Amino acid sequence: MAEVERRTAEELGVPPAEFIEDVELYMKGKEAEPVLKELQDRYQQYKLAESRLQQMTLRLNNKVPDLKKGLEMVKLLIERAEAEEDTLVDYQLSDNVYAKAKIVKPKTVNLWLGANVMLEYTLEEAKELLTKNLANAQENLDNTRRDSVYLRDQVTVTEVSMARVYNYDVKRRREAATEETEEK
Amino acid sequence: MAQGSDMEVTWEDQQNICSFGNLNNRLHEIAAKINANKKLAEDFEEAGNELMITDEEEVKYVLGECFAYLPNDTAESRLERATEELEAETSVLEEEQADIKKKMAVLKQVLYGKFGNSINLEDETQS
Repeated sequence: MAEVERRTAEELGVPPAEFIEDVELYMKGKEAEPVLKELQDRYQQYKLAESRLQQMTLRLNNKVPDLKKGLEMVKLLIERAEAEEDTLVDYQLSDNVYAKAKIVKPKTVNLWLGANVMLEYTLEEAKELLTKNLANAQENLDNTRRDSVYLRDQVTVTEVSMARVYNYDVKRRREAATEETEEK
Repeated sequence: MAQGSDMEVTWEDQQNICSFGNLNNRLHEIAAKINANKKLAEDFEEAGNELMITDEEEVKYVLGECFAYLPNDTAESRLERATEELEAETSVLEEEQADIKKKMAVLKQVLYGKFGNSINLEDETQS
């Protein structure tokens, strides 16, 4: 677990949040303002990393259904090819424009690999690749979820620290004020 | 409020607060997914009904980005399989949801027990 945490912290480029065990001890000889400001800076840092992660999750969440769709199609082609049947489809030419196509004895498909590259694969290879990519995407999704959990912990720790330092400062000021009035 | 500043927060409390927050987030994620799945399940059911009613021997089935012409019974079995997969996924999610709710209830009790009114664990996003 500790291993995971360290890796996560490094990868995300954020230091782990520090939990304040004893506020009074921690604040000894310190002004509240600079401490709060530092915590605030940290907090922003975490928030930034968090929004980056959220975007990544969103992207992966879109990718998974795409891969699933592609895999379904390749599987269908394999099924039909094995049954030695042609596959008739309406395929999309542009939004709302469809044409009919008959796929006769398909042996290969072209997979869009991204970065403007399309490569021809045999049906089995295509299935394998898509299956692998799907598994990878799902694993990445799990990783980002774990990273999010870690980050949110840091956010919460920082929030709690800010609240406690602030409360402590209020209390300290009030005590100082009471002492002053008592002296008079 | 003055009482709140006197409250000792231990590392254990902090961890409880963190896990509560994380569980709450996960709960929202799951709820959204379950809702989406339910909607999809309804669509599947409707499609299944239409398939039963229709006289057509060949129907168009959405696959990938296009419509594949499939014999009626192939479409039906595909739809059945898709429905089963969806239901399996939903029931896993629902189990997790129940589990999270249980854990959150325990944490809530512990945290409210210690901090009383100084802490707010209610979900404001839920109306």
